[in-house]
Amino acid sequence: MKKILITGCSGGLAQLCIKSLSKKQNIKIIGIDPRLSEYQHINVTYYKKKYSRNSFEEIFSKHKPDTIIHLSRIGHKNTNPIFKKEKLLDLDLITTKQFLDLALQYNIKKAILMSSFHVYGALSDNPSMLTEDSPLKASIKHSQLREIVEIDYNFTNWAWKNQKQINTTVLRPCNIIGKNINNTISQYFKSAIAPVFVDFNPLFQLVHEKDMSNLIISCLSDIATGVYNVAPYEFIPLKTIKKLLNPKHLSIPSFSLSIITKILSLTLKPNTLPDYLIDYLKFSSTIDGSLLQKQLPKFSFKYNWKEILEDLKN
Amino acid sequence: MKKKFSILHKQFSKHTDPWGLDLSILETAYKYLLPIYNNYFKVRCFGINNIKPNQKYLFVSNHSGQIALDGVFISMALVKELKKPILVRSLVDRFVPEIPWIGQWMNSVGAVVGNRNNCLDILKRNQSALIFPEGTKGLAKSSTDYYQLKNFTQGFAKIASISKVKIIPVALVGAEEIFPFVYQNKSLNKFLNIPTLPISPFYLPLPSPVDIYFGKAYTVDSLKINLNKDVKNLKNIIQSMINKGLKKRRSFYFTYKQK
Repeated sequence: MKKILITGCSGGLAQLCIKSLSKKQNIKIIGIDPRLSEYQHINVTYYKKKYSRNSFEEIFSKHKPDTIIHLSRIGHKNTNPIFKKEKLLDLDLITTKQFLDLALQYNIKKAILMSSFHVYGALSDNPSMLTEDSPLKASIKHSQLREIVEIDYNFTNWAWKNQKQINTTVLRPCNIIGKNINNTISQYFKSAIAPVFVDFNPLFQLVHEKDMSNLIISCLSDIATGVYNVAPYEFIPLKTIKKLLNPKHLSIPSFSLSIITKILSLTLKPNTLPDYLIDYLKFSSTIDGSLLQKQLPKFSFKYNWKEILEDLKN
Repeated sequence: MKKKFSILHKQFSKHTDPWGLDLSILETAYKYLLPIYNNYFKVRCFGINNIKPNQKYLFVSNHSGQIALDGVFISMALVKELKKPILVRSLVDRFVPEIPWIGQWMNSVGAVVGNRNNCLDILKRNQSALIFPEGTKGLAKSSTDYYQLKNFTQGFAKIASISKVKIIPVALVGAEEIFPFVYQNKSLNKFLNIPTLPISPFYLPLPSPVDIYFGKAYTVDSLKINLNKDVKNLKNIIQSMINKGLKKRRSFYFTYKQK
C-alpha cells in the first residue's frame, strides 16, 4: 500500500488532490495542516497541527509514508511582536529543512515539492519564456519574496543532493485559478476595487485548479528528478482578464497604485494587494512549461483561459 | 493592407502571442501610419527581391533618427511591399517596457524586449526578427556622427549561427535628417541616467525622404565559435549600402553632406 503525506491538506488544491487520490485503491493518505480542514474524506487521516519538527516526526514515525506532496509553505505567524521578520524567515527555513531531513531519514521514495513561478520575479527585461534554469530574481526588489526564493533553493539543492535516494519533482506553476483556491491573484482578479494600470498591460498564464491537481497526481509516476515549470502555452493580457471578470474595473496610472496599496493595507483588507504584486501587474513573468510536457506526454491541460475565467466568475 | 492583414491574421490567430502582439491594434496603427509612410516620409524600398517567400530571416539594420522610426519603416515595408507579408518582430532596448503606455503599445504592435532568449524563441516559432546591433548608441547620435555606424554587438551573429537563419542586411538612408540638428551630451545623459536626450531646435519630425535598402542574404557558419569576422563583414556591408544610398538619395533642405 502506498502511503502519501500531504502538507497543507486544508488548502483547495490539496483537497482536490485528496479527492482524486482517495478514490484510488491501495493508497493511504495522511494530511497535516495547522488550519482546520473543512472537508473530510474517507481513508484520509488528518492532523491539525502546527508545522514543527515534533509534529512531523510524530507523523513520519507513526505512518511511515513513502511519498510526500508538500503543498503548503511552512510559515509562522507573527503572533509575538518581538519577533522580527528575519527571525520568522529563519524559523520558516529551518522548519522546511527539518521536514526535508525527516523525509530523507524515513526513506521517502518520492517527493513532490511546490514552489511558484514568482521566484523568477517580474522584471521589465524578462524573456517571454522563462525556463527552469533562468536566474531567480524575485527578491532583488522585494524582500517579501526572499522567503519563496530561499525555499526554492532549498528544494532544488535537496532534490539534486538526494537524487539517487529520492525521486523529487519541484514544481513552479503559473497562477493557479479556481473556485477552491483563495490565493492573492484570484482575489485580485475577482475584486472590483483592485485596479489595473492604464499604462501597463502584462501577460499572464493561468492554470485551472483541477488541471493542477491532475498534474500533481501524474507527477507521482516516475518522472526524472528535476525542477519543472507548469504553464500552458497561453498568454493573456491582464486587461483582458479584468474586463472579462469585472467589466467596470478601476483603471489608474501606475504611479498612484503604490499609495493606494498602502492605504488599502492600512484600512480595508491587509493582503488585498501586497506591494510586490505591483511589479507583476506591470511586467510579464511568463514561463516555459515545455520541459514537464516532455516528461508527461500523455498529460494535457483541459481548461483553456476562457474556461478558467468563466469558472472563477461563476 | 486589408489583404495583407487577412494573411497575417491567419498566420497568427492559432495561439495567443507570448510577447503580447495584438493584430487589431497593429492594423489600426498601420491604417494611420500608412499615409505618413507614403506621403510625408515618401518611403522607397530597394532590394525587396532579396527576401524569399516562406522563409524566416534575421534583419540587421543601422539605427537612426533619434526616436526609432526606422523600426516602424522597416516593419511597414515588410508588410506593404511583400506579396506574402512578413510581420517582423523588432527587438527593442530593455528600458522600453518600463516607459508607461509606450511599453505596452510597443508590445501590442509586435516589438519584443531585446534579449537573446526572446530572439531565439521568435526564430524557433518561424517568425523573423529585426535587430539594431548598434543599440541605443546608434539611435542617439549627434548630427556630426550621422551615417557612421557605431560598434556592432556580437549577439545577432551568435543568434543567426545557433538558429541557422540567414541575415538580411538593411540600410536606412534619410531617417537621420528627420531631426537634422541634434546634440547628445553624453555626460548629461549619464548624470540623468537616461539613454538618450536629444538637444535640438526641431522637435517635430521633418519630412525627410527615406530609402530602405535590403541587401543579399548573408549566411553565418553554424560551426564557428569566433564570429568577429562575420560581425565586421556585416558592418562593412551595411556601411557600403549606406554610402551608396547617400549618393542616390532624394534632395531635402537639410540633406546631410557626407564627409
